[in-house]
Amino acid sequence: MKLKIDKDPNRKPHARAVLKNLPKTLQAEVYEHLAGSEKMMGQGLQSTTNWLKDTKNINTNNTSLSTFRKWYGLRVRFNDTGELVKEMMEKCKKQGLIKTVEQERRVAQIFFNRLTIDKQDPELWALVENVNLDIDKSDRENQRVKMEKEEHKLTLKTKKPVKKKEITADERQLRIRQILGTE
Amino acid sequence: MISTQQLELFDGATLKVLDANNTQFGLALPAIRMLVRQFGFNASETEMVDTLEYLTGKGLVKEVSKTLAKAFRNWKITDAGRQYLDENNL
Repeated sequence: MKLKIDKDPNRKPHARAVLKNLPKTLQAEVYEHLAGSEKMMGQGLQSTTNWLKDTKNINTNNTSLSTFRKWYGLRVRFNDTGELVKEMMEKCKKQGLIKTVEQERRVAQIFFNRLTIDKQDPELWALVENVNLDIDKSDRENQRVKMEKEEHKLTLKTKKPVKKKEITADERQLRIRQILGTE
Repeated sequence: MISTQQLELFDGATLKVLDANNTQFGLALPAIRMLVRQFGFNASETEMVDTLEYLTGKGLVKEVSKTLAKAFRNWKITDAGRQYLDENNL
């Protein structure tokens, strides 16, 4: 028996996107089989491909399953974060911290993005950010040196050579006497 | 120098991240930048903005919550973006 695919009305997936079109419960089952859960170990790509073909009559391949694994993992994370943000918004509204719809939208958006970032590996992210900061700093330093070089070149071009003041014969004699100490 | 093929892969990774987000909220630059790393890309802020603006121009991505400050831009995938991913088996 061929499985009937329930289409989500909110989106228009291509007919080839078989796994993305599966019912939510089945998607969760596939993900659990593939990536594992508290109850069971992940079975891997090939095993899941075979399992889908044998038990669910769904033809797919390892590449599609790999794409699905990343997509579904991210989707679950976004959904959880979204729900958490909604709860936080309710609390904020009850406490009177948020008064307008605009404020709510803005704060929710900020919370959502903040939580999305915080759910990732914070140490690795901090490391990447530090590296990026160092790169930016180094770029700025290089830019400063370049600008200083250009400025120096410009100064050399525009600067007129200072001629030494010629001294008169009297002044020369006076200077010699000063040096010899005869004055 | 990034090749055309790498750029296409990067576009695909960006779309995949946005596609996974089916909440009402848009994704901001830092979150997108961090999540594309899962696909093997460590993009700079400028590269990320350029890609998002390019994809917006193509109609595959849209900027949401434009009333918010310019510094806090958020993006979501469009139906055309989802279709692009599905058609290209991404």
